Amino acid sequence: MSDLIGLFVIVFFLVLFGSIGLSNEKKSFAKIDELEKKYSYIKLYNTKAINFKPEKFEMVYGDCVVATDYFKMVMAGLKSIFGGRLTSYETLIDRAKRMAICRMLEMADSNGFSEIYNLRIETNNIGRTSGNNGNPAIEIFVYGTAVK
Amino acid sequence: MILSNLEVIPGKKVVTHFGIVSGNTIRAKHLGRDIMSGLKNLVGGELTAYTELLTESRNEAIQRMIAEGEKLGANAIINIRFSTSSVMQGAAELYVYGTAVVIENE
Repeated sequence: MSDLIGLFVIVFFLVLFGSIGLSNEKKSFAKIDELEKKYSYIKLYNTKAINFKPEKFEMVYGDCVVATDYFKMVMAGLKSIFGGRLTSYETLIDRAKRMAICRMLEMADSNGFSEIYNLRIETNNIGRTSGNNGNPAIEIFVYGTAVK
Repeated sequence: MILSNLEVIPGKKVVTHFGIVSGNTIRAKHLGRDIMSGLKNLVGGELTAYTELLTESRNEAIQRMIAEGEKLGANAIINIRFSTSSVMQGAAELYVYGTAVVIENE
């Protein structure tokens, strides 16, 4: 009986924190959409060739660290039994990537640049270094050269 | 000091090459922040403390690279690359490198 209560408590907290996480995610996606709209005039290229002579150029970068929550981990764990798209992780990484790009755009915007060349996106796994201890955290780092 | 991750900048020409300059930092946040980030794992989402930490450290690495370039007498660093590796729990090494050059208008 006490085992059952324990299980119930665990599931309750999983769902509780999971739903808080989901609502936070929704909020941050709304914020990202807003930022992307605001900076949509800045053009991004991952090519190196510039076909005009820029008068000014500068390096811009942005980063974002995200962590998974236990709810997402359980969902992904269940999903991986059958395989297929792990939507809970997809949204997490997508959010970090877009947020990092928004931060880079913000940096370019504050100095009045309108184009970014040679864009590079780097994904780093920080936190979990050995085995299963430590919180798994992913860092997305974006950098490029802004010109005008 | 002009920084860029492009190899060739249109309208500018490289006059002198000084070779590779680099900067690195290994940093960890204090324990309290680590515990807070651990708690954040319950709801997930962005770890602001870590984002801050990495931004600060990366800026420091860039400053070190710039200092090295200035010592050589360069006025620009081109073809900059970043790399990150985690060395231990809660600490990461940030490494930045590029080629120190003197550039002037064509």
